[in-house]
Amino acid sequence: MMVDNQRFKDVLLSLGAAMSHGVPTGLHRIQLQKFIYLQDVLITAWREVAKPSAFVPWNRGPYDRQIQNAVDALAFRGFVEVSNLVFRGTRNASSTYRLSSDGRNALGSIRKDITIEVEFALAEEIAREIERRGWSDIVDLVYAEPTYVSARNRDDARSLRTSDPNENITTQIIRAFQRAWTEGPTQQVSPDCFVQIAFLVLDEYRHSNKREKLDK
Amino acid sequence: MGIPSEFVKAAETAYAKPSIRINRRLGDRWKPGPGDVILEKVLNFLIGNAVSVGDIPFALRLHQEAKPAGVALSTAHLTSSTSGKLTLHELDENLRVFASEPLEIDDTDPNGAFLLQELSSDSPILHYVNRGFARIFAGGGLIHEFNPSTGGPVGTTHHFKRRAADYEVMITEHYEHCVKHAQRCKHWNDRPKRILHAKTFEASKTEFIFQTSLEQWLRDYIADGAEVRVELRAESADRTDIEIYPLFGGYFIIEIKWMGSNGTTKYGEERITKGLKQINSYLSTGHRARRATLVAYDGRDEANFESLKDSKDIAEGIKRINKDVPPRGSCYVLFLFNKQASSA
Repeated sequence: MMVDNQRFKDVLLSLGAAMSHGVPTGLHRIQLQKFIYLQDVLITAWREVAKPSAFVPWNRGPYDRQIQNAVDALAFRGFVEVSNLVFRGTRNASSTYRLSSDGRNALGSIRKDITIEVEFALAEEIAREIERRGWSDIVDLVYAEPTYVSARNRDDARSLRTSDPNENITTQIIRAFQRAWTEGPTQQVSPDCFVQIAFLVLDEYRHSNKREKLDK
Repeated sequence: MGIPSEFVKAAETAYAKPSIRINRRLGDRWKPGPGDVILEKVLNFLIGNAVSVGDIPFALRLHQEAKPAGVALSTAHLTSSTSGKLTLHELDENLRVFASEPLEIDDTDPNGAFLLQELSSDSPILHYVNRGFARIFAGGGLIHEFNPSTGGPVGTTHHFKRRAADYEVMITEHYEHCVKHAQRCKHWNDRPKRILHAKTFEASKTEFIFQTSLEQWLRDYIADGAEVRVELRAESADRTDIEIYPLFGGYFIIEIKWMGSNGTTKYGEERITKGLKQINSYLSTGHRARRATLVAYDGRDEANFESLKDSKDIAEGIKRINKDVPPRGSCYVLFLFNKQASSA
């Protein structure tokens, strides 16, 4: 099984962050996908770290099979515990993932790398913002994410290039905020504030969509 | 790839949120996400209780932490002070008051706003003035004004709503509806003799009379969430009068001058020359300033106004100056009519 090593790290970070923010029992399969999608978008937005990304606008939102492969491989090696497994077909299964004690140790080890520690801090901030809105809203939040919405509205788009700052629209929006913050008597602000601002923008888009639907 | 318009709108709406503006002023001392939740709780409290609180002014300093001690914020707490002094309550993230201190100023003293603004350097302060008007200060600046009974804007009509980039149109609309015949801007001290006020109750100098009125108009009617920034404290030599910050693309500067007499000082066209030099300087030093506009309110005789050189008539009482205006700059002279309906 070919697995993108980057996704091992992403799975460990996302499960570690989510378990300390509202979901101690772990993430469902879809939640894991969506969480890592938001992580990709927002970490790219802030750090513009180049990483291979293969999200496609699948019929249930952005989906990267490398994540599934990574979490399966981590489960096979004992870093991740799987529960609530329901198998309905080859591409129709549900399950919940949480870090095992070995997984938590592995996370602790990789967090010694300063770059990964920064990514984990961002993942925690993302988890905190999702927790504030409710984990059941994660799919809604991803469906309000500009890069995904734009790709879904394009006929020719089959891949979501979240790692390309020019394609990642959330990056462009956050850049605008960042620029605005550099003018006038503004104060230094840490990346977690921009994650919070990105979520407030997603909220505005979600609310305006709801208002439009009500108006119709 | 450009940003789709629906996301531009969502971003601009978020940008207009008080919590995000506070973060802009205070940086990491105010987290915009949790801060938005606290502000919503406070607003819901005010909407539910403004009628009971009535018109007793108070101030709340908002903290993003939970304090173990304290009592739940209540109407009784806010209305219990009988000293006549403005009371500053310290409020934690769970809307618990953990300290209250009367300030050395009467609760109806208009200078209370200046004091609270100064006290807001580290944490935002909500100033409840009456049941129709409240405002938030942070980092020494005004962040937001609203109606605490409804949570909505203080203004009444929205016919003049425009995007920040149309600020020059807004300057002329403000002139037409507020200043031209002193309809809402009370600048005349002796109207028949064309003498302006040297200062008023709200404005410590003539220029501030026009600045405050225009600033309020812009705040009420800018539609895309752009921040209108004016410092209430005394001016410094290099400070612009009004700055407008939209989310996307630079900012705009408005410089205000007046001409005529206020009883002690007399100004002529040299004010235009000075103002043009100032906007030229702002545009050459402010790397992201997109445009700068000089607005000169003309309280001199009509003959002086009509004889302005190198100008073009835009509308009745409005001339645009063309000479010595820097690129990306503009200059309007707006005549102050003094004839009243009965004498016109």
